[in-house]
Amino acid sequence: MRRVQADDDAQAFAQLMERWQGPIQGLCTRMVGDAHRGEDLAQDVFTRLYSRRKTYEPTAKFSTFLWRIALNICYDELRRTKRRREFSLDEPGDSDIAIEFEADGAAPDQRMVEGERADAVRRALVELAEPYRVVVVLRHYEGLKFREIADVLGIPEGTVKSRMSEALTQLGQTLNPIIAEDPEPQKRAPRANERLLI
Amino acid sequence: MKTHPNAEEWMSFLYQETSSDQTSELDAHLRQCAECQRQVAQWRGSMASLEAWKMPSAARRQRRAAPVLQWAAAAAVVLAVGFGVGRMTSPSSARLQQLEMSLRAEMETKLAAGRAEMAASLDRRNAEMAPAVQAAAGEAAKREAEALLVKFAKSLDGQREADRDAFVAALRNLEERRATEFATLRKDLDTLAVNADDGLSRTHETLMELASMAQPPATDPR
Repeated sequence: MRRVQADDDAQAFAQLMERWQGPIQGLCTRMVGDAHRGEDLAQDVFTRLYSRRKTYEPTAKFSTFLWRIALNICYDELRRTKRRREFSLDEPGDSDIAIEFEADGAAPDQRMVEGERADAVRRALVELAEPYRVVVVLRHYEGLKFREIADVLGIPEGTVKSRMSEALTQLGQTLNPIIAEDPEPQKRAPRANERLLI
Repeated sequence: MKTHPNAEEWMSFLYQETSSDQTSELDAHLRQCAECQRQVAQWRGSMASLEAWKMPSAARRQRRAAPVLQWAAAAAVVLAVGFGVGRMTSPSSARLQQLEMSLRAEMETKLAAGRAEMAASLDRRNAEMAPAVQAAAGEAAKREAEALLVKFAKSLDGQREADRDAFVAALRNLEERRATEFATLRKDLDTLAVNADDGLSRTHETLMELASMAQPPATDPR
């Protein structure tokens, strides 16, 4: 980052992108609940990172700086989506959202089940309040320590942990009944408004 | 140990952020506390459920790109084979250099001969055409001078005509202006005369009036 900041080194920035593209895209996708939008937002994150490279203080941790940029972009997007929904006739959750999930070598019926489970998790996460969702995404999916999350969000570590426990409790209430049941793959078809990209 | 560890401690435990001592302590409590077992099992269930939403891995992205890579590899192989065959069937570089040198020498000789021939031909042509060119040049200059004189005379006549017209127009203009001014002056004089006449009449009347007022009344001499 120092090379990018001091010398506008394009090669160094490309290396940064290569290193952080996956985690940032994962964060954006899980925060907004849309893989395609997540990709676009990740691009926005790197654009903003480059434009704000001069504001980065080398004494601070680079990852914290980058996560904050990414979260701010996600919050902006969530606010925009909320405003759009307020002026739209669509029900929340009826948006045309694409889910991309892994189903390496699985049979089609197995893929369908996995797709439905992935969609259930996505919906449950999107329904979580943002303060809980961000903690889940950063700790569970991105693997940040509770201390690091506290630094990124600027809140005490204890608050992060209590939010995490509350988030897991709420997710359990929503997801455990769905995941526990063993669906009959042949009898279940994706809903019309779902696009499952396999 | 206290009654129940709080949620924050369990979170550190579940995400393996506790020290080994804390882990042992929490493990021991978990083994003997049914209430905490239920709670932790529910959280673990949630954590397991979250695993259902995976992001596409790098391997999968690579597989997506695989057809393109295969085609690129095939193209590279074809190019490499073509290049190799070309190199093998082409003459050696020493032979190529020799050919190039001989071709260059031959071309330079031919070019020099061509240049000399062209220069000689140009000299001959110049010598042949010089008298005719001179005669033609003298005749042409004479014709050109005559044409210029005619043109100059015509332009002079035209200029004179234009000057005369302009002079006549100016005279007419002056005469018209003089006539207009004379008429205006005459009118002004008439007005002045009428006004003067009127003024004189009024003065006369006033004098008569004053004279009648100033005459003393008639008195009896006796």
